[in-house]
Amino acid sequence: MSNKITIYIDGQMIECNEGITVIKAADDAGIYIPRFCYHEKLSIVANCRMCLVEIVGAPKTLPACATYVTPDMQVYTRSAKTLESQKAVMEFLLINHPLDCPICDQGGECELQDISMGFGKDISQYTKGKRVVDDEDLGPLVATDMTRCIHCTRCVRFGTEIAGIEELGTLNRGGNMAIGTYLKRGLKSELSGNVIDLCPVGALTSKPYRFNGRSWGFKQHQSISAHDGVGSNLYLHSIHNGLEHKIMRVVPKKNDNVNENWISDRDRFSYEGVTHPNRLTHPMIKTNDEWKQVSWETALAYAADCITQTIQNFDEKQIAAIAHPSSSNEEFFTLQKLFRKLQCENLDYRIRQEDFSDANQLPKSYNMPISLEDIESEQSIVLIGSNPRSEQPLLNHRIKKSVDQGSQCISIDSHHHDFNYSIEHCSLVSYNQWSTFFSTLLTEVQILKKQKAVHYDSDSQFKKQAKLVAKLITSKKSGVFMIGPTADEHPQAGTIRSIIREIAEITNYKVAYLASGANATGGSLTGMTPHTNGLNFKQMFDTPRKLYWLHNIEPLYDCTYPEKILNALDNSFVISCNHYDSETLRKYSNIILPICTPSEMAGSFTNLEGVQQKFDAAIPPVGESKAGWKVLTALARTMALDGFEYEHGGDVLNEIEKIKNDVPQANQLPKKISKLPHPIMWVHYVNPLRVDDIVRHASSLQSSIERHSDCVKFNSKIANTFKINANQGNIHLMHAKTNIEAPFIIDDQVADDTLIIPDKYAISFPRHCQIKLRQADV
Amino acid sequence: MSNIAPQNLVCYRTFHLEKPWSIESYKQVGGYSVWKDVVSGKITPEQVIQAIKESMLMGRGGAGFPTGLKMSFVNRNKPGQKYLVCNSDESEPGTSKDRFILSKNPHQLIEGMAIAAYTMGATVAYNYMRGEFMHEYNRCEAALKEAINEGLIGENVLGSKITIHIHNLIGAGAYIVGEETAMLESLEGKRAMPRYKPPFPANFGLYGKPTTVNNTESIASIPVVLEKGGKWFNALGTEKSGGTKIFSVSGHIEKPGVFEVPMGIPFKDLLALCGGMRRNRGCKAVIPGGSSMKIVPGDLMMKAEMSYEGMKAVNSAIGSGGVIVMDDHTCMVEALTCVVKFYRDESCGQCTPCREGTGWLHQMLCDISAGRGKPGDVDRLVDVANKIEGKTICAFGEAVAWPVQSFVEHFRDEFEYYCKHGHSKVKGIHHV
Repeated sequence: MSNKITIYIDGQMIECNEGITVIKAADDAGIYIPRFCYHEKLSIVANCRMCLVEIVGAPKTLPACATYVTPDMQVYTRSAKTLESQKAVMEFLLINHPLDCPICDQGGECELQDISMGFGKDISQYTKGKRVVDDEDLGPLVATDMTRCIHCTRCVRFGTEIAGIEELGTLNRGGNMAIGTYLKRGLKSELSGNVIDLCPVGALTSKPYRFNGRSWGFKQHQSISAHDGVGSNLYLHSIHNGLEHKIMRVVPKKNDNVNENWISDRDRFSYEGVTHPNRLTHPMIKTNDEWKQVSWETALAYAADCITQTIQNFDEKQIAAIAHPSSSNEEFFTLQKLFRKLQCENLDYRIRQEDFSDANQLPKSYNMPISLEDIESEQSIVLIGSNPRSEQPLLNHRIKKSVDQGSQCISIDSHHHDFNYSIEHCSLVSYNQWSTFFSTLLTEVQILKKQKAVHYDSDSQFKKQAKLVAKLITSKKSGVFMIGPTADEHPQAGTIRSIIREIAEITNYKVAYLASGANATGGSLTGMTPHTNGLNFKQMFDTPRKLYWLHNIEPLYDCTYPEKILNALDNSFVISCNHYDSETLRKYSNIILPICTPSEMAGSFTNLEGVQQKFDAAIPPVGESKAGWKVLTALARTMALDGFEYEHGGDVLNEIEKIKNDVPQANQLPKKISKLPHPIMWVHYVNPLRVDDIVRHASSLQSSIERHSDCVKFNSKIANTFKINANQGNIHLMHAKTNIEAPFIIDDQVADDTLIIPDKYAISFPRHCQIKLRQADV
Repeated sequence: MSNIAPQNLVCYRTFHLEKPWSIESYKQVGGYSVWKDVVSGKITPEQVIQAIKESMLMGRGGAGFPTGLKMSFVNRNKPGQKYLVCNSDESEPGTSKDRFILSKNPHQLIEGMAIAAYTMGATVAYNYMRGEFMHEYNRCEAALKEAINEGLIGENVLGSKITIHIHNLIGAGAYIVGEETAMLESLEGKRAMPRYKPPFPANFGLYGKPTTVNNTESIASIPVVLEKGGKWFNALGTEKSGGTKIFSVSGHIEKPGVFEVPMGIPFKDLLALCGGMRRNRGCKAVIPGGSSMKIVPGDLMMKAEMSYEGMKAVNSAIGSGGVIVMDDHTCMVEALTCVVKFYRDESCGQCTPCREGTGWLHQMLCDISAGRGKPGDVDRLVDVANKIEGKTICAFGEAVAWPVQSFVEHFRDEFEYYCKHGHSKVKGIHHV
């Protein structure tokens, strides 16, 4: 612990920790010192010189951001000497900065504007022309007006220190210094939007929001990110103009336990999807293939009738409910409650998974055993089938911090991802060999730990590789396995997970499941899975049901083998609660109920850490759409079910909080490892900008998807087998009657016998199938 | 050139020999004997520092910080990597002393670097030369090869288990890289932008390790200081300014050149060594220590002696020893414009006062010398210079402010005249 010392700022006695800067001490004491380049989360450069203050004993004024407190230091933030320095710096900053605040997007929330009002002079001695700097196209998200730049280099440091990729830098010198990419390519970081908040002036602004509004006209609502399991805290800024209500932009809400000062681009720009023209506005029912808008009463009565009829005609096992893992706790809870009241447990939200064999060995609260903050102090992190940088960007930032502090990070996957920190070791394992690899790893760990070893495959090809990984894992006293979606989607996921749990047990590691979706933890905690005698997601479609309730699902993008799902839905009665209209939706649905997005309702998400976070409605729902849980409650009342007397979301939440976490069954290792049928297996690549329907309808984000991320990827061995030439047009992916043409990249960072197929091309391929490749004619 | 006997020369002591840059020539004057004594343990690191402190050797790069004191900041017994960096960037306008050490006496520099590095416990030393020093770089590389071949540098020097690696490298052409922390940044492969201090390089230097950065002339003096003793060295100069100093004299003189002379030499004697003023004109002003030092009027200069205390007496400093002499035909407005243009071009652009202020100063001076000066411009010049001074990360702010302040202080009438009349006060304008 650091010692307390006493310093004096403006004569005020302040007790502060040793080893902090003057600016930090002043901030903590509520004394404001103007600053531009200083930012609490970035390194100190002391280049703007705005925070110069008089310190007794120093001949010159010193930058408060880079001067550390010493006992009995006397600082003056408003003395004549300080003011003289601040006025001088302010004058210099303004000589080349355009003074056209009324036409600047930053006007009204500009640090330069504020500080010049508070600390500058009224009149400048400078009368000459101002510097003009060329703008650069930084892509569809960040707009530039580089003439306004004051060279604080916050954006540059952000790239190096936080985003982990150096995209912006300083070019030229002296008065010609400019910020730019040099390579003239857009920003590619998944956190790039944060430079908009960091930029103290109007040099870097939000492109989608640009010139659309003024900050002082906005209302601010707190919200929670609906796109990943971190649960980043957000502020939604909206305008309410007569009948017009609109979300104008999204900015981070600082929360050091969750997202710190940052949010991902996905969280920042997905608001555009809320106002997409395809939003569903009215309940609709299909009669004789004709869609008809109806009132909520009619729609719900019809739905209730159909459900009752199905149960009467068949039995309650013939209905099933599936919800997207980004649904709110309230939606999950009311949905499962409704179905359980109907004696049906066919419930699931794990819509990309195949193997549920270890379900009873998983804790009901599927959350991580450590907090997000604790990740920073883990000594060893083993990523299994996970690319946290695109899946959970801000969890990835915690891993980055941990690695930067010297911990080791190991990746085991079928594809080497583009990590923004250094990876100690990356094991590339063919997707169809995962269970063999992990069983060999278990054996090697057991040998290293001098335990009785289980030998599943005594002549495994992975012995050497597994030994190396085992050595690295056991070299640290503790650590964490992070199991990502590629592992969860594996057809032998249950086997793999139980082996990993066993390894974790032996090595004193923890296991964290990085499920995709904003509320996967909430899904399992609220009971949105079959407990004893229901069907899981796979079973529901292996033997199709008569009636499905789809809550916020777009099967074409949200499931791993959409064709199978769609075939089943086409022959069933389908009630869909959705945000967006689409042809596919109209084709398979019989009733469409419009529900509102998280920004239009109050609710709660439980993040990966298990923390329940509430959010508010920022704008009224579009059209007649309603909050999902309200729809379900109304339906339950229509069906005269009791226990749904909720007045508002808080009532639902009170009931959720009573749910007790149960103890999972003891881990069971598989008896033997079965071989998978086909040598070549494909990995489903879900683009981070297509994880849920709201993101898929956010136009700026969609236009920022890079072409290469939508390419099929495989290594040169597969290319040789199928005689594929690099850099030549497209390929055909063929299986049975399916033939899909797709662009491709030959990438030796992909494991043998593995195809990486992006979501948009993966529609017609079952998990196990023999895919053949052929070069397309040019 | 010099007015002293070869045996009393320090940095240029091989110059009278044939091929002065070869190891043979260097050995003729006793080269590497000190290094051998240090390696064999006859001279301890403590004795090295003691001798340098006694010699009153001040940093010859410009700031004049006592070299012995600086070397003692790095604790040689502290575990971990440490570095020595030799600053051969020599970019100060009017200065060209180090290039002759590099090209004509590179072995003495190598010996000095080896001794200094060993004294502070460093095993790696870098010699950072400015981008234009291709010829000097080649000489240093050749000399380094010779030294390595003789086992004087490298692993296990002369069987003593001492390791000293020296690397010569060449910059990319920026004035600011001569600032010690900017040099460290450049060595690390980054843009040469000065760091904020503290922490000082002695605590957090190259790659975050304790580092000492010394000027070429300072380091090259070390072998002689140790060979002949600190007291001998000190006695060459004045009491407070020990040893000899190399002056690069340029400007309106008959024979511009580089001279190693004793510290404390009267300016008029130095001028006489240069053959006096060109065309016997009067000496109007002198910048005694490279363009960033304050200008001194000629009459004061004629009475002054070239030493740290002598220059302080005329409110300037000896700096890097780049003496720029101006005769009475010189227009001070245009001279200052010239100086400020250099600083405008060379500001690294990192911190606000320097990035914005240097351009503003140059713009005002260009306006004045183009006849567009306005009343109040002279005051504004000084005002802007005052606003830069003391507010920047590195000393560059002072380097641009001091010339402006001192030019206006001593020659205000010329500036006022130019503003008022739109042309120079000096008749028959003589462009610098």
